[in-house]
Amino acid sequence: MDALVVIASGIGMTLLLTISAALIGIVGGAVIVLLSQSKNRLLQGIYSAFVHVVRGVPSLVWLFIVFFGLTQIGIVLDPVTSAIVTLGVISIASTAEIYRGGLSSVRAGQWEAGWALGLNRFHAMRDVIFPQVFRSVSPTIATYVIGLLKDSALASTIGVAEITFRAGQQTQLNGDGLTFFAFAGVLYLLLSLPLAVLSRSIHTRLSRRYAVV
Amino acid sequence: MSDFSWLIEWPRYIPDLLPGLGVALMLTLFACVIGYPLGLLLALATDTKISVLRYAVLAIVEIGRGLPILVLLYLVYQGLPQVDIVLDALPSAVLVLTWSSAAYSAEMIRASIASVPRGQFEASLAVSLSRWDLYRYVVLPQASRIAIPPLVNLTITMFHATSLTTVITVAEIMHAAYFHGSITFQYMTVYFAAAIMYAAIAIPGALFAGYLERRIGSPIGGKITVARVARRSLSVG
Repeated sequence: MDALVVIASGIGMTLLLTISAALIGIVGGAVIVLLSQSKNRLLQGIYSAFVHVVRGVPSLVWLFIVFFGLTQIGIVLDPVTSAIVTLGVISIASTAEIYRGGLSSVRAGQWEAGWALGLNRFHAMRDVIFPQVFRSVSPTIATYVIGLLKDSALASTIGVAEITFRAGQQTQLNGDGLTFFAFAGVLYLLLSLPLAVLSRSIHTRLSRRYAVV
Repeated sequence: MSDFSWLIEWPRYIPDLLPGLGVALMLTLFACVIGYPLGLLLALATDTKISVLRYAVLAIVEIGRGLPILVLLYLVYQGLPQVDIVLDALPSAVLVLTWSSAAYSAEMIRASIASVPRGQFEASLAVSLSRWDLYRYVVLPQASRIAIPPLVNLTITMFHATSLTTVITVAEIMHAAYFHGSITFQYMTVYFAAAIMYAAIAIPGALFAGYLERRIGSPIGGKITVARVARRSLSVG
């Protein structure tokens, strides 16, 4: 029973990793996606190179590059920071792609209406386009954040004491891996439920606030 | 000790990692060749009237999608021996990756079937196609246009996921990379080489999936419709 308590107390770390990476992605992705909307071919190229490179390499490889690899060039990060940086950057790339999909679904008339009212590109984007994008992509982002929750398990490989790491530790101490890892699995399922509920309530609230009839 | 030699020296490690790439590709192949047909079966069984089967399908899909692959790997490799099911690392990896690819593909295939317009089902009923013919000639050809681009992406995801099996000592790319890195301490160089290897396959794959999506990603391709199937079955019958 004590072992299960030890595993469950990894929830805090799992949530810390997930929420930090999600916030980095939701904010950073909104900035990066602007590159893809630029008229400048070079900026568009930088955007698509960034997205393809980040998503073209497995998360575990990025994590090891950040944690083990950077020491070779004199940058030593502790495991938690490494995990947050890695998951954060991956999350920026994925979230930016989600925003890009949302942006292409906003009709051109919305831009034109913004300009007709005398808004410049920046203000049209901030006050007219982005609120609609947030509304349409919020369920997709929520799904992605649930994915991040599962990806946070990667941090166990570099010794961050989150759920999966603790389950492994208890297995080594007491045997009984079946119980411990099944318990860890149940924790992940339980954690993803509130996220799904939260996302639905955010979505309804955004729809009510920014609905364009 | 600032050192950028890794930018030049990474190709030295490629030969060391190549056997690992073979294992990774083999795992991907197994996961997809077994996983996707299973995913199709799971997708078709989602709406079954037999409630035991329906709950079983739900459990397989939700556990496969809801748990981190790492946890599934540990569960099979370190957990199952407790109930006297002892699997080696490689079979454990195949089992978990297949489970995962079946669960994810089931969801994609289910969504693609749901995107086939209702009228196609009704029209098939009207020309009295059998249930088998309905799926074989009307529904699945149209659903496949929707399902194939995400399945190509899933294949890349599964290829990436093979990297996780290093935690249960499968000798794939990351396992080899860790081994060679811990000898020379040139971790950046060796992981950079590994990253290049994954990206060399994944990036073209992602571009191909994007191309497919633009090319065939709309629900009705126009070519395969109930009318055409009906005409064919009438001329045969």
